[in-house]
Amino acid sequence: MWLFLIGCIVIETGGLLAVLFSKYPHLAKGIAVSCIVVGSVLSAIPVISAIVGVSPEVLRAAWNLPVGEFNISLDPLSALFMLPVITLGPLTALYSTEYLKHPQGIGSHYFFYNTLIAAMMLLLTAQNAILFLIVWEIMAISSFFLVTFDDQLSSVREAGWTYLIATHIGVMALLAFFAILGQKTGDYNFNHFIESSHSLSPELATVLFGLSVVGFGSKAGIFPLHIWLPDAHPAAPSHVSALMSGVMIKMGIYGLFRSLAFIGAPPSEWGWTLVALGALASVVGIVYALSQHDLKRMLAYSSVENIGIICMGLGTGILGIAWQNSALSILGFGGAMLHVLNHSVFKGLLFLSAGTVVHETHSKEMNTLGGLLKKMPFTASLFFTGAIAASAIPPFNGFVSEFVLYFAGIKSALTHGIAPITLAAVLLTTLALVGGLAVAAFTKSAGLIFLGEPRVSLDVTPKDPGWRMKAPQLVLAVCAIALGVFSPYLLPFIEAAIQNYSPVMHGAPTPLYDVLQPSLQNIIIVFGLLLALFAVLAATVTILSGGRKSTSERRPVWDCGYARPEPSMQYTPSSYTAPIVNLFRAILRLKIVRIAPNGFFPDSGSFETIIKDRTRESFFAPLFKFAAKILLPFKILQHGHVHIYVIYVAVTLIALLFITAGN
Amino acid sequence: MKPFDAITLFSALLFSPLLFGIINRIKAMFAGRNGSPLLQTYFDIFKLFRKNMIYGNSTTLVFQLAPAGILAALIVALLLIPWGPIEAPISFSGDFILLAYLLGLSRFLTVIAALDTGSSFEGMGASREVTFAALGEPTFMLGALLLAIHTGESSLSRIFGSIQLTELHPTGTTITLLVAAWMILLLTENSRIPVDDPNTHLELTMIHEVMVLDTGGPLLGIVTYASAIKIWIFSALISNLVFPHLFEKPAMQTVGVAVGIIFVAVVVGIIESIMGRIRLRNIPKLLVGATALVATGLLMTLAG
Repeated sequence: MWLFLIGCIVIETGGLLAVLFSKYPHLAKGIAVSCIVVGSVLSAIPVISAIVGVSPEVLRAAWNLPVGEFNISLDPLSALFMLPVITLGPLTALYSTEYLKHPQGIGSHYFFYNTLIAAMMLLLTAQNAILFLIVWEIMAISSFFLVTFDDQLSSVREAGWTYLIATHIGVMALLAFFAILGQKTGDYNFNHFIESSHSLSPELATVLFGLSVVGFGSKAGIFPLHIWLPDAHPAAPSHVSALMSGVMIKMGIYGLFRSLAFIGAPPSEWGWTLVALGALASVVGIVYALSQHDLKRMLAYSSVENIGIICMGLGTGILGIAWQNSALSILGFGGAMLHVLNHSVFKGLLFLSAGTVVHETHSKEMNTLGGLLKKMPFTASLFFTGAIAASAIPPFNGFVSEFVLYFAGIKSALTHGIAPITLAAVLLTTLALVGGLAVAAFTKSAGLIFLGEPRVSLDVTPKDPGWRMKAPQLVLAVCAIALGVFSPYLLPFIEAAIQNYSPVMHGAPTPLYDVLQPSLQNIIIVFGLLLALFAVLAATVTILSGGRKSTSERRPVWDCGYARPEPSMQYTPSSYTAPIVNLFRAILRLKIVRIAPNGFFPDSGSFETIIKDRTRESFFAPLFKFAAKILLPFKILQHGHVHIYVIYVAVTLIALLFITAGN
Repeated sequence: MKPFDAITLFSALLFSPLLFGIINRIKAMFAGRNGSPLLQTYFDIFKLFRKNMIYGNSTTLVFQLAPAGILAALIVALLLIPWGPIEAPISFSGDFILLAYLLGLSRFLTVIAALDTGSSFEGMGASREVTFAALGEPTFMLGALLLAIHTGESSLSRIFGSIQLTELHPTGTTITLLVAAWMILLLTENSRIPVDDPNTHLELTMIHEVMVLDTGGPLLGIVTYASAIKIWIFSALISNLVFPHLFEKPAMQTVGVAVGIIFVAVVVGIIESIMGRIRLRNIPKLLVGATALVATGLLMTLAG
């Protein structure tokens, strides 16, 4: 445990040194990043030993605050969530050294970067509510400054603002959550929460569950609390997007996992709530994702989709507990947990590759890109890897975790009864539909950016980046394949982590490993056959075509014999998804701005489709307007006259004095 | 694994191009023509393999290797399909999910190869393909779920092995609904009338054919062979639902599957002869209708 704490301290020290040396940007970068690498390697040792089941050490220290104490421990659940932090942390940091070119603000950027990583590491180990809230807030603030790195742009400032508000709505709910729990149980340590969780009344437990869904959900980006995600990710530098989407939003999922242990045995309604929210979020998320033109915004919406899938897994797990079907609960939680790891890998990879595209072309607008594969083959092949994994297509890792959830659905259906079959129908329909739509979304982004011809001629020549941007992507792509192939070996650890952290789960004789093992082994055999057969066929095709290279020709493609074909005539991303966007008009808000060429001598015309987020426009905007209307009158109290503020203080103190004296 | 277990694999590899021949023969019969030989697709494929390749100006390695991936995914998918009483070589709990996603892989590669040409027509076809495929996925999954609930099994081999067509309700009605829904799925996934017309010559209205518009030579040969295997997979699934269960003896059941596959091809031919295409904007309704059929079956199972 000390080793872990030293790792955190090393990372944070790196950040502080980066500020000190901010006059020498290269030095600052070097120090900060190498501290992240060293710190992650140091803490990897305790993390791995916690996962393989070495009993967790607890580290408690005196603390000068009135409530709470410094109490950290690394149990298997924390350690599993820690894996993305200590892999994506150093990888994105290495990537950033090449990605960030301008020396301005480098020192403070790395200060916040290192702080964010250290805060997440402490957050995952915090065993005390006060400590947890403090590091939660540090995480929120430091990520806010990371998002607003390019703060000379008004769009970036606005995105940062949205993020700050959204995250603090979450904190508000969390404060209430922990305050109520602390009040009821009389202590702020997590193990104390768990011990007295059964004494909560069902009504209070449900209120607490609602608070935790809002509080943690706003960080995870659970629909409809996702609105900060699609703004913040395009605004942030790409390595920050990768870290936030791959790791930070999972802290919300971790919170949901952890807090389930504090509020007693869950009734089935909680499970249904999460399943319904997750199903809605995944469909809405992927429909929005495929309708976006902005590459990074599209990836952000895809995160909303994946968080939805994770939520469905959590909900299934809760239903399993409520129905005393331990196999279902372990499959649900296990699928959710596996998807957390898988999503970290492929979304991190996608954001880094997308970042490379942005870095080289200075454009995030898919409608203007195209044909990049010829100029940047390395980036293209890694983006394709990520895209296939994100579409849950075999043989990459995305498929395996979705398979576990499908499997949970089938197991649920086989127990008979209306409720389990309904759950199965919801799970299978949603996952199938979302899978199909994900193929549409990712063939669009991968296909239209990297294949074909450039739609607009760029004034820069994009090329593959240097090794510092390449290596992290390569590592993640290897992880995407490895997690697909080795997932059966990971399952026992996931199972142990889930069973040990909560008394609700404890002692349930649920062989996740035994249930899934035969299926997963067969799936891996199929993966192997698939790759082998592909290799043979591809070699055959190459020989067939290579052997006749002299006679194979290149010709223009068929375009109805049009005389002057141009790259701008290619299908655009907007036209590609038009049929689906039309089908989902109920969810999307499509605005078409069309200026038709007019008059006898028409000169120009234009056509633009704008997709607006309905949740933001029709739910949050009116809500905040309403809140402003009610709260504005109170502004009288805040007028800037310090001497009157002093009177407020005095009056409050005297009032408190009377109240205390009265008691 | 006994060599006989892979009967679906070998029969599909050998005979799948025959299905196109049967369909075309039926269509010719309805039109009062003699029609092309039953083995025409074989001739076409052999002819294509002897030809030279012509690539589009902007195509890359993706275009060149995608057909190999498509064929690999479909051949591997064949290993998951049982043949009446004979279990599939690879059979496990939840195998139909992998089957659906292997078909998804082949679709992903088809679409990617189409986009690699940079042609607007191919983009158009790809766009339609992903739209309709996304709507078709739930039909397949819910159908498999319905079967799983009905038989209490969770692998294709066991599911098809334990269907008992002895009573009209609920088994008979459920299977009927499912056959209808999966038939719609077959027509959509294999781009047949009324969803898509494989013989049309108007690029603007095509779905699947337009995605291989600029594919030629051996690559087109592979793609044609792959689409023959794909229709064989769907026909075998539908055939397995009904035909083996009409017979008592395992030997007869084995023959029954083959009869069923041919029967499905004949039905496809008849549908193509007596129906026109429906408008593109109505295809989603057809697909949602297919899902609704399965959902009805599910409700009936729950109620009965």
